[in-house]
Amino acid sequence: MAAMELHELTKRFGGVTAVDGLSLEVGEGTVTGFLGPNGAGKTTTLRMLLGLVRPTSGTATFGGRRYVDLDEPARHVGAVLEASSFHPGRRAIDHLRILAMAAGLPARRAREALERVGLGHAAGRRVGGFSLGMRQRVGLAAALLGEPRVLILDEPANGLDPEGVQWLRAFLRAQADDGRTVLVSSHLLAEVSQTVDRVVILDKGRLLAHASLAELTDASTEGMVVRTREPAALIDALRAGGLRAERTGPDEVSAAGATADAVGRAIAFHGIVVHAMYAKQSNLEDVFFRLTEGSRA
Amino acid sequence: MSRLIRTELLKLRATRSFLVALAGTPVISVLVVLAVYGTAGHQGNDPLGPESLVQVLGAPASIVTTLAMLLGIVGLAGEYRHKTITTTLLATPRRGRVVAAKVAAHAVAGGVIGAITLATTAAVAVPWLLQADVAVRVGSDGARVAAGLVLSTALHGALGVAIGSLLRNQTVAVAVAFAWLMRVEGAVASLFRSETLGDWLPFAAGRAIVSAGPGTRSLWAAAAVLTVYVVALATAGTRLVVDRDIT
Repeated sequence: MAAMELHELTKRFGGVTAVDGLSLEVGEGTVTGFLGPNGAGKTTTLRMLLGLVRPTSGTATFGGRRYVDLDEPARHVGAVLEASSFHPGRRAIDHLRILAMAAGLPARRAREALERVGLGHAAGRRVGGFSLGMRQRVGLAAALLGEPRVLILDEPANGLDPEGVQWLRAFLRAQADDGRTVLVSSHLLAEVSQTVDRVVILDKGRLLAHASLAELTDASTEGMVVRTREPAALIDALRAGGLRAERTGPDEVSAAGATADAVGRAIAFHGIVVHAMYAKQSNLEDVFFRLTEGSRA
Repeated sequence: MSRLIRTELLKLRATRSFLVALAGTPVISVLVVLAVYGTAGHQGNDPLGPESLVQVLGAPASIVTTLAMLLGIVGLAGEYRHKTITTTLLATPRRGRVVAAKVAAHAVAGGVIGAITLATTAAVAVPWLLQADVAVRVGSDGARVAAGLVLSTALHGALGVAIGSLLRNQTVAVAVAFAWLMRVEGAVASLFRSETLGDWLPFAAGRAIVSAGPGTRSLWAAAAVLTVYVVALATAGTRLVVDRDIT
């Protein structure tokens, strides 16, 4: 069953279409990366999901219900939309106590959530003195207050130092291991590729791709790479077999568009010694840029 | 709904501006008593007399009602300024209930400020009068001013939230409220050359709530006028808060 469902979701701001007929389902228990260049419509989509922005048309629901129609929404969905939505003069623990009270949750959850994100020691400090990374963690603590099954995070890695990014990666994996559904938007593609199961790529408000990480990258196999001490002989052998081949290193030959089977046959037929052979695949970044470039053409 | 009102009161208690206002209220009261009684019988002022207690009880009203209104404006417009409106509406997606809870909470906070003002003013003024061998008389006028002070600060707290919900930009909301209070309301009254029009304007009604003596309107009539303004502005503001996207 889908944890989240968008159906023909559209948002126009005046004459600008920010999200254009977006339809997709996010399955339960998956970590989905929500990718797109700046201005792609990611944040607007997430805000429509959470009832903060009213769609021009279409629907965005959790288990068939709009966010505003959920009973005690904090128990169903936790969200972090921006790292700066704090009263700077308020203590971290008070910020969370306020949200817990508003959501009808016990006050002890505030301290528990802060402990969970590693900020128990800073509970009594005012948020105005926090680093960006600490604020991100307070935001995550707020999202976890109601122990929700769904987490929505908008650019949670923004402004984090390498240690913070590493912490965030482990945090996301822990949420997935607990069976939570996570939708995380990001433009840090390398980071997302290490934490997500599925990827949604958006550009100009339109859906470009929605697939598992493996599907996206497997579909983008660019050919085979072979390492050998006889590169010239190998190139001749591959070309004799009707394959495209070129030298891409002192002992490396690439066969664009070739399968492992075809390359293997050519090598065996000509008796060439090779040290390594592997498929050259696009990484997520390559796929992302290819798709978004295509949409701009 | 009571949970949301308690949440809004917790927000106030967890914010330094409210705590500073609470701590500053007794100081304002003491300074006002010092200014009124210290100059009694001098510089053309009446000497201390049986009416002095009633006179001084209502004296801090203009300051503390403005303070309550400012807290109300910051209570709502500040949510937009600090972007806490996002987390507030995620916790409570029914926006109308959020505005209503803020109106109620700031009315309570205003009432508390009014009560502290009243208690402090009386605590300084009564011993002062007794020491000066002046009869301390409360009477119906004193009771009215006392009740009016608490009621007026409560309504101004709610009025501040209503203004904040309409304008949402904290700086603009404060500037507009002050401009109306200082200039516009008086200009409107004089523009129509009407002696009674002023009775129907919001801050004039607020002043009338804390007034006593011959020729003053009834407490409830004045409070009703200000309440109508609060309800009308809060209703219009709620419509805007509900309709506008949080981007």
